[in-house]
Amino acid sequence: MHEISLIQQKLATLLSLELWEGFDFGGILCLRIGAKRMTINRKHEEVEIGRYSLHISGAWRLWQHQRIIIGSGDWAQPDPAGVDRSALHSFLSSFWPQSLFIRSIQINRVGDVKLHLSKDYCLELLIDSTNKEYWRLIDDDTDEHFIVEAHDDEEEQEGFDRS
Amino acid sequence: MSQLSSIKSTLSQLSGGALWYHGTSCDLESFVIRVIEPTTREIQYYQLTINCAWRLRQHHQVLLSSNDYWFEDDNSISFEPSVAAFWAKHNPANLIIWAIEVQTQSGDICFSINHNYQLDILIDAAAGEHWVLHHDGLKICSYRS
Repeated sequence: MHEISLIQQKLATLLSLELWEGFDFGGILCLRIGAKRMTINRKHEEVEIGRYSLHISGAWRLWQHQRIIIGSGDWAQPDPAGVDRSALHSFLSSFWPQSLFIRSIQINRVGDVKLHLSKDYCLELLIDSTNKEYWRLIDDDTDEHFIVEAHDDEEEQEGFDRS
Repeated sequence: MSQLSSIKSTLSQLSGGALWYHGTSCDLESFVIRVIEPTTREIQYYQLTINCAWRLRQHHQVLLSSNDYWFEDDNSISFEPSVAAFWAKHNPANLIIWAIEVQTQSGDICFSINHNYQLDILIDAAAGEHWVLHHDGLKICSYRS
């Protein structure tokens, strides 16, 4: 994994930015952060994106008022209303859109990250793998991908970025 | 007694036990903890089955985790080579749990094990049964939220 100081430095670019959308894409939590702009996607559709995207492949949990309100493991829990595919999908479809601001960021020596948000929310990213990608921060202006994974050999990562 | 207080009390039985075995039980991962009762020297086995994220680390490096397995086409489970390598390198009798800490807010549990290993159980869902502890085939404790 990258040095903790490098991860801190990269994440610091998110401070004070608005986290305004989140959705699940194939088991990855995708968050849109920062200034919005319109772009054309691969399907030639006009879509709104943020300055940054945070794609979380590893375990995560969202707290509010010091209580876990949803987590990556909730994909396996049934939707309490019995409407959506899972409790996680149900939550994500009703939680957004809304404006949350990234107030502060903490990272421990294992690499677990806490994004402290407005309205007393906290999004926690947990290191839960020895061989997979945990999360990546994408600068949607430059298409730079900062990938945090168990084995982030620089050459491998560059190759992955190019593919 | 609150759920977490009850959990702390029950888990304290595992202190001094050895992290004896790690494998699958149905489609969930389990650890077997072998405890030698100090006065009678009777050997007791406890099975901790985990349905949430976990990791075994040494200091800050994660060595084993809940993501180290995958399902084959026939639904059998295969493990990363690192898992077999870890258990080949260690005599389970020497992996002694000497402290157990339960986080009151998250419900996370940290087992401190000798050789500076720590087994973290990380609650990654708002609902469901996150782990279960069995003794002699009987469920004696679990954490549900």
